[in-house]
Amino acid sequence: VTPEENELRRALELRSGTPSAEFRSRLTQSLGTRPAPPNLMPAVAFATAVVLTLTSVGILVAAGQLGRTRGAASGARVVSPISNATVIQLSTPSTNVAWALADHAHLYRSTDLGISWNQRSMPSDSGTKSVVSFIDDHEGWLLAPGSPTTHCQAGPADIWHTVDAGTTWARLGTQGIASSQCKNGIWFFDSRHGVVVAWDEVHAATIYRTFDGGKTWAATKLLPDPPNYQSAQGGVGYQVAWMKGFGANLYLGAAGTPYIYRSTDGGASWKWFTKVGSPETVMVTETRWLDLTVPGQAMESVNGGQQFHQYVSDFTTNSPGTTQFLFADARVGYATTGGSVQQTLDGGQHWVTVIPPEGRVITPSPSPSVSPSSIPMPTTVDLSAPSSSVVWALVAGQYLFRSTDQGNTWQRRTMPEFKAGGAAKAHITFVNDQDGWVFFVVETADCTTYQATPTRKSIPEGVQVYRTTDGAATWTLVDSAVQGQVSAGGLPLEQCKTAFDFSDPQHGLVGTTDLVSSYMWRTSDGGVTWTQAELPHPAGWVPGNDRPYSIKSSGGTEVVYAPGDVFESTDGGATWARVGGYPPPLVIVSPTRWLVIFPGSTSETLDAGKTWHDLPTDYHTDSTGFELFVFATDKVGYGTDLGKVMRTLDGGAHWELIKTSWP
Amino acid sequence: VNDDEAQQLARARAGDGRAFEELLSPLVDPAFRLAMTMLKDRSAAEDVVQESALKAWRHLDRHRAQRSLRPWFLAIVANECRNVRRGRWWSVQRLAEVALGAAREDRWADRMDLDAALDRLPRHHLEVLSLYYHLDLPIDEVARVLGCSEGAARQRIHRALAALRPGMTLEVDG
Repeated sequence: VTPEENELRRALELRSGTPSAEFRSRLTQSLGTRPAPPNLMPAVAFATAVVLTLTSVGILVAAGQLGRTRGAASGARVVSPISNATVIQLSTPSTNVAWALADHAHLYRSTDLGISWNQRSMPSDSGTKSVVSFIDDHEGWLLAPGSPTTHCQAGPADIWHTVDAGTTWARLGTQGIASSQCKNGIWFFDSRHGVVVAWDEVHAATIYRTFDGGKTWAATKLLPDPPNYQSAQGGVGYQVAWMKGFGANLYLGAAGTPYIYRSTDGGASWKWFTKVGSPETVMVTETRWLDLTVPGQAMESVNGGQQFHQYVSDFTTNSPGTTQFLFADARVGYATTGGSVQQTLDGGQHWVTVIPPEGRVITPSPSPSVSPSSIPMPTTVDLSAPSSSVVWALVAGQYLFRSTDQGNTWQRRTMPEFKAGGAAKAHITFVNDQDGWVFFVVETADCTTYQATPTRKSIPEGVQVYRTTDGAATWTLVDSAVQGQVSAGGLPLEQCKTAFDFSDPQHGLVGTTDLVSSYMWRTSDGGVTWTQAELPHPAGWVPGNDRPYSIKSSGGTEVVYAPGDVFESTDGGATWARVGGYPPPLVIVSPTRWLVIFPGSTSETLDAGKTWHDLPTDYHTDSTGFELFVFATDKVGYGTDLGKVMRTLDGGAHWELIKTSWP
Repeated sequence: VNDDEAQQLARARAGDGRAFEELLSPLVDPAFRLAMTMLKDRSAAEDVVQESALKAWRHLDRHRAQRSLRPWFLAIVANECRNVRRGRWWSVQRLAEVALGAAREDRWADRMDLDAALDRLPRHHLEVLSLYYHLDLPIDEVARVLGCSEGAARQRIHRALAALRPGMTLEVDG
């Protein structure tokens, strides 16, 4: 063992970790019942259809679609989009983790920055207007208020605790919490320290603290009145709207007022701290506060609310009602207005809608009218190179460019608009400098959430296919998978669409997966109707393999790379056979010539992977991945590198950087 | 596989959950370590291992009876990690990481910060280094996880080392 090897092992170990006992326990629980294998799905679908027949003819249509989905019969986790909620309460314990309580009744967890949401169980009795507080992705508390008396003079409540993400809940009771006043908020700062707040219409709010994880509670002094404010019966009769902790320093905002209180002793005593411009002012950090209430007139403080200055933010909302802001860390924050939630990843400057989750816009919806002077780098580039001279580039998911001179000069072209509402990712494929397609696809985390469930109605469309025949001057919608309308031959709403290619103006392929099997959909009428074929499972097949990644059409042969297998069809995509394989990254140049391109060393096979040899290359990149390579011919190819474009004219030996910024 | 493992596999295939748990138990640790190395996120790693376990359980009949479960299961974990990394969330994260990586390029050059170099390493390189140097899998198992020949696996280890630090030369057994 050399010192360098030791150093490498140590560095790898530092990145790693060991599974916790709690995780092992959860894992064992999740394996308690063997998940239904995929081949049970038709039976499940049939049973589902029978049940649904008895209830609703309308739902039966959707159940039929379930039968079409050879998707995973879900084991422990089912992504359940939140839709049609009228009120959502969030708890954001860390950067990636967010909990959403919809309509006080349905609990969801996201561990991927709000992109996908898994529904979790609620306690058996969650009261009338329950609220939650979580300290990580598994441990949290739920306050379950009962029906209050008039003016909230008295209000029963219960408190529940979970350590397994809602799989099980333990009733803690409310020892130490008086029956007087309505209980309306709960915040925990770690596994032991938490706060419950109570209020009524004529008294100051009461704050209860716990030091033992919620088993026992003790009331603190009533909140004092702010200066020049005297309530009739000894205190301010408003609710605590929010609470945020920074070590021993706790802050709270009084609902509907600009008053903010601070405690420097962990919540034992509270003092009026400051008055801000808006009740919706949010503490991003202890010193950085934002007031985004008025569009175009956002304000920022960097000294704990003492002074505010103008701030540029694109936050706006069309939803009625008050907006509640909440930051998970200095960059990741959420704004909840009624049943909609927006998210920022840059500390409040830019906001996108994440709930309903289909509203998530990673790359903003394309708008042909926008003509940016420059596109921020790094960015993403999707390429289509139909011939030795023509190459198309979709930059940042929304700006389309065409070059007819091997990438030396580029012209901006128009993009169609995704008109189904919400968000979709765009993919391009062209067969020359005039004919091409844009596929807008709605992505979900598990590729199976389009199943016929009541939540399905929140997904307006799974795919839209646009076609141009005039060099992307105009676009025509030729196919779409629309909720509630199962077209005879159209692309399915279900399945993730991951690879796209047209070989001529009529014939094209789309690769899809439900993460159990992968499928190739083919069209022979320019994308209007589609027919499905399933990719075979090769010997030694491993679940998760074979998500179609790239398609290459050449001389009547179609080749699909689905890491790490290569499949081939010689009948236009009707039947497929595995012809070889290699772990990613593999670039299919032609049916027999494949490349594995690494900086400084490239491997080449000329016999479909049977034999390999080194190909001397000067390819170099400083990036950490995301490279995309497409070859128009055996010689002419392009590669992307976080928005930059490289070109080779000799089959991959020599590369030159031809595009470093857009336009 | 030895007789005990073969019998456990047979029972697990027949639907015996306890047998599958016993088979899986020693694999949770390397699976989690691989996922952590690849994703550097505890929640994501836990999700990946749990999802992989469910897939393995669901598709156990696809596993070849005479072969050890470890490389097959780690291959599922590696696939899940790739799927996570292909996800949209990771796309957002990656751009942020790249910007961060660029900012500290000088620091890396000066101090040969191996962890920073691992951060900047393409994930297919990180995967093979983790399998070989971190989980200490023999080269034949590394090859089976990657789905390639032993020769190709050795080549990928060499390439990963070269990408990690130019001039770094470590012995690759086998």
